[in-house]
Amino acid sequence: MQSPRRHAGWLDKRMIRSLEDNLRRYHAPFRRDYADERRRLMEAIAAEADAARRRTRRATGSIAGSAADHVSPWRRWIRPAPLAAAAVLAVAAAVWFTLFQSSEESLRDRVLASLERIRTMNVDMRTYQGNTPLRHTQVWFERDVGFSEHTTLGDTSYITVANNEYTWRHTAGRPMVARMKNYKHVTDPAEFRLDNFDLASALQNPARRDPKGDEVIDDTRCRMYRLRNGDETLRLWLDQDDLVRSFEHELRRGRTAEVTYGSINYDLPIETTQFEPSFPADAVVVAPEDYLKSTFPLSRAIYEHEAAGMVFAVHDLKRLDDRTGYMVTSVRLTDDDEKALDDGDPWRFFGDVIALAPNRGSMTHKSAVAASSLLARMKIGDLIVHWHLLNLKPSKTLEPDPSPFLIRVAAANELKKHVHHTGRSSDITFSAMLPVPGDEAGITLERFLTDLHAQGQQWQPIAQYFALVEVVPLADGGRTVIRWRDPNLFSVGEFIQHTIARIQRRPSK
Amino acid sequence: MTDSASGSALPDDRHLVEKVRAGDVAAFGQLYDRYVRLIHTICYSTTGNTEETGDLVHEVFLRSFRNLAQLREPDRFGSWLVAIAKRASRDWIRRKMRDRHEFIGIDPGGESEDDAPGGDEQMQRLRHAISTLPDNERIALHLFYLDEQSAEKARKVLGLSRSGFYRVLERARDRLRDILGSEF
Repeated sequence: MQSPRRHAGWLDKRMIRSLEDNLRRYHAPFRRDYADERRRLMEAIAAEADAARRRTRRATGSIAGSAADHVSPWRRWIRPAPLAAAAVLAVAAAVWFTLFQSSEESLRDRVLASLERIRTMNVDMRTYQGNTPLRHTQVWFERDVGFSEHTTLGDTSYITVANNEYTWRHTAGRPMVARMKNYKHVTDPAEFRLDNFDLASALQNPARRDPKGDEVIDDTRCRMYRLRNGDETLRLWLDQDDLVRSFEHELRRGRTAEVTYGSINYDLPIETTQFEPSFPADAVVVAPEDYLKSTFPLSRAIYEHEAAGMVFAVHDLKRLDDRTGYMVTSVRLTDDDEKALDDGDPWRFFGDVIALAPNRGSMTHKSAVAASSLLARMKIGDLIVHWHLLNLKPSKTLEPDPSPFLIRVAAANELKKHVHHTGRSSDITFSAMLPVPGDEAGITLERFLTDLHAQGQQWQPIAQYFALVEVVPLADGGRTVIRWRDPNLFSVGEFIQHTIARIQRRPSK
Repeated sequence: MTDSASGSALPDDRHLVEKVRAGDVAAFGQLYDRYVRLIHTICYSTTGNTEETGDLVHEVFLRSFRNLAQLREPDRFGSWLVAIAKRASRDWIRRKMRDRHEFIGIDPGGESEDDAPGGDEQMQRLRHAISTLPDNERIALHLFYLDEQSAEKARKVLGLSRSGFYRVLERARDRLRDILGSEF
């Protein structure tokens, strides 16, 4: 048998030896005497075994799991073959009824209906990767009064407060607070969605009742349901009113799993101050739509293109020292559409997400394309840029868009007319493709925007409906970099500085 | 029947499980002795304190005893027990979630030195690094390096092939080396 220690011989042996020594030192306390715990366990087991013996009334019978050996009067009664067959059929029918008649659809309906009856909700969620805490979120909701969410992710805290008039979003330590018109959160708890958990969406997955997981929570007997969808598993504990009292959401990412544990309380009194914005005195409150217009006016855009009631614009375009293409872009509604649809709907903030935010991270080109809807593709010299509406919901990021067809909304050469910037290649093509469900023929702009809005609502709760993704192949053929942004407000200077710093930090190939 | 992997005269898991099923409660004590350290380390990485770990370990073994009749492959008792420990650890976290006033979260680096195995800063870092490993890698380290079980026994507990076990072990070491750097 090959020694595993020898097997790993190609590694730095000194390091392994040192690691082993440290591991053994670390483990030393576990190598103690477990006599007391053992005694306690064996006493408990002996008591259980005695109880099992009494139940089975069989002096020589099995002890552990004795129910398996216990022959009940019921089993004796059904021993005749016809009765046994009938019993099997009855059990099968009952199982079928349990699994399919009380199906996942009705479970979803029941859970969402139960939320319609509640007035307040308080959610506490903690997410772990392995045993490492990743995120802690607390949510307070009071119907028609307010919504607030505090999330801590690493060293950063994000605060969202909403009342009937506005939604404020703030990242602790940042100088600006975004203030937007309010959302459905304030009126409908079924709309409850967070970055890493979307109850209504998760409830669409196939559900299975699992009585073994039933538990008593706060003196209430709760039924456990398990819902699975690929790498995503959700366990729900529902009380007698079908309210979710507790949940456990697991998302497998390759070999690691991200698990979120949540507990929910209903109809507890919530202080009204919970829904009042309270930010640092020196914070600047900004209305993103105004900020976008004043900071990135279309009149100074290098390129602009209108499609499906939205205007795509490029405000800056240059090569960095490492030949990486760099762009500042925005997307906003046309003035006409903004006026026509100015009813407080959140989709009017498309553009804010794009232009005011810092980079949030990166992902592979393949994943991003699979996860998002391609809005536009632009080629400028050797630089190809794809614009996407990115689905940021983690559990869905690798699923291809299910939309049945693409609507092509722009002709390629139109953009040439809008090029104000000189000195660039004139070989520019531009197209926009917007996937929406439904019948391509006869679709109206209003319908298109409604569908688009609905898609966005599935993904992000506050203002982050859509984010722009840039696909930037390095000029030397290196790894494609994709960037996306969230709606934390940055000045243009900060944004550029942040992006350049980030590019410089990226290890060279 | 003996533990052929280690070549010792100890009865193997299958033999012990069958004895327990036949009514020999003491045989369960031998299974306990064999796996308590592993289960303790798994539970400890969840609770972060000795007292609650003891209760959780107790719960794991009690659950396994109650459900022993459902174990279809007695020679896979170890991996079955590990699965129970993982499930029990999750249940523990969820239970703690409900009592928010008490639960302060799992913070591998945030507990008192007295309670943490290995008191010095280096050990704390190591412990934190181990806690960030995926379950399989963490358990592989515990089994092989800490519990000093043979690769054959360790791979059985994890339900892996021999080469698969070595790969997991190697990944765990690589990851620890990346996290801890040259210091270790």
